[in-house]
Amino acid sequence: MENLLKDYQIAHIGIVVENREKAMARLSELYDIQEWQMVEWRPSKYVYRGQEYKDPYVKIAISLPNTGTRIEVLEPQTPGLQMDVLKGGTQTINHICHVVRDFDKALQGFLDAGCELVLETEYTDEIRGFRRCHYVYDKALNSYIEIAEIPYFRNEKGARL
Amino acid sequence: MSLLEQIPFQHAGYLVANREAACRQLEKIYGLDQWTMVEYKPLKATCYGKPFDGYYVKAAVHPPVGGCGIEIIQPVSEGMHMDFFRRDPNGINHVCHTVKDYEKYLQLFLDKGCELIFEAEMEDEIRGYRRCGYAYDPILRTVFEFAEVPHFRNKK
Repeated sequence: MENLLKDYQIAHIGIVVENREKAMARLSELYDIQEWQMVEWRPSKYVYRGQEYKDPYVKIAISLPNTGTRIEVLEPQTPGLQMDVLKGGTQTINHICHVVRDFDKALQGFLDAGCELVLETEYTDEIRGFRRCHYVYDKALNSYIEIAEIPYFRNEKGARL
Repeated sequence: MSLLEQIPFQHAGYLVANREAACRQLEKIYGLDQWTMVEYKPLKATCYGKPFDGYYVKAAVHPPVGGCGIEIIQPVSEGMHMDFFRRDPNGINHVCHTVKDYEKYLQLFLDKGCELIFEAEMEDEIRGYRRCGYAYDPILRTVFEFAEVPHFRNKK
């Protein structure tokens, strides 16, 4: 049988925190992580449980180098999924993430398996281009799985270049 | 080289209400269909620093997938796993590093302020002896497991 966990890999484990810099400092102390990739994540689209949120903002840091399963730290600044997790949780590990090329196929696979689509986002920048990043919730695992698209550039009609 | 590169995550550990249902779901999602069911009743267990008799969790482990894997745990007895399961709304409980030098790595995290909330010893004729320790970091509010690579011991 096809083993999708082997194909997709767990790109990172996401933890939601109250203070990004404090969490980075702590993780650097524990793991001797020297470098982080900082992202001021302000997606152009953020639809959480069917409701569109305006001006979403999450402060993110991802451990470097880009090898193996990394750690992602998320500090929500505005209402949304990450803020709900922060307010509701006693534990900070929040999700696992798969970075995929064929985003639609991968997402459909999770939905066909019974996962619930809870967050849809889109993000574009001039350096890496366009990408979608959605969260599904799985009831049996009681947990979120992030599916992130490998960024690409699009033409004016939105087609992949 | 960071410690995360030296000892990458071996698995993410999930606490679930029903082990079999979680495994069936992971088969549907990922095609993971080679689960080994483990009735985890350690020879010796300590919870929050105190000895704990009769510790029992139902676990499911899958052969390595070539990277970080997934472990399923259904708490049965009272104890640390049941405590997290009851109070935490999120299923992912910990990340695990499997290491040869168990004491060194666990102590490293404890020396940096993590708290040893669970430790257990297991031994069987197939895999031998191994320990596992859960270090809770109060700053990150995250649990890190260190699992010892199983080995066989002589009578001493």
